[in-house]
Amino acid sequence: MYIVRHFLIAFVIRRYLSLGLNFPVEQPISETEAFYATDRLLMNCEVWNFCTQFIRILEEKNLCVKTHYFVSSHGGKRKELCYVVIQEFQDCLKQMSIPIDFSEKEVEELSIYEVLVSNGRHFEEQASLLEFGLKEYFKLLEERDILEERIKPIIDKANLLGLTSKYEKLPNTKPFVIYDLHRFQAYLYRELIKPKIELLLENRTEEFE
Amino acid sequence: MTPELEKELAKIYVGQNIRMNARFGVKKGIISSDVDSTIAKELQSMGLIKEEHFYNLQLYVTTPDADSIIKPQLKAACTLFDIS
Repeated sequence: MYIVRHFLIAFVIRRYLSLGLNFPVEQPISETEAFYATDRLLMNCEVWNFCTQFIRILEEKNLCVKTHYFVSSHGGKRKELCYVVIQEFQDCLKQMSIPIDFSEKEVEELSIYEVLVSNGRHFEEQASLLEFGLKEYFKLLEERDILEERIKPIIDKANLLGLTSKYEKLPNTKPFVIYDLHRFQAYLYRELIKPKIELLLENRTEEFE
Repeated sequence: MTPELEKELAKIYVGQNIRMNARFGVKKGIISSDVDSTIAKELQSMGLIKEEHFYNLQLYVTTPDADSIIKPQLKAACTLFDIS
């Protein structure tokens, strides 16, 4: 008998299995390992346990196996162990209609989290690589189709908490300065990630055999 | 085919897609050290898998004969998961 959490199943299918055939074997445990916001969601133990439980059911049915990733660097190198899901299962998933998903706004907030976390160090008070940092920041915004206007209220709220300066669009200048990176990241987690985890773990469960 | 051979063949069939989403240098294959070597030899002698190379790494891939055995079985298992 399985307990079904609809949103979590939809999450693992939409955000992982429908996009690629791989799923991590090891839970991401730090911000640096969780480059994508969806990996940051996996840092929550309840989310992680559910997702791996689902993956292990696939493994029992031979629809998923554990094997090492490999890369061409250093003349061919074995990398971390990953779950690989059968291509045919991905094809089935793509044909399924799964009505539950994050809203457009929530997806955008996850992208904003990625931009601000991966770029934060460039905007610390003491950071000197201004040109490189700005280039990276605007490149990430463009890649994720995010307008600066969407970042501003998040930074201005952080400013009220004393974590950053206000957001200002000025040429060749940091649009904002982070006073305390650690606390700023915790703020971003609270504002942008935690509500998504609560959504994933919402109590819509049912049992089936 | 014994269940052990079948299980390892299924592992190679699924696992050979590990890099299918890599942006550059996509290469089909599962690292040989992730497969039981005795079983791999037997599968090779039956013409169900073959050796490939990716830089210094030795890989195994399934042959079309193996695909025709394994694919229908796993495809049937996929249909058990109707989550919609």
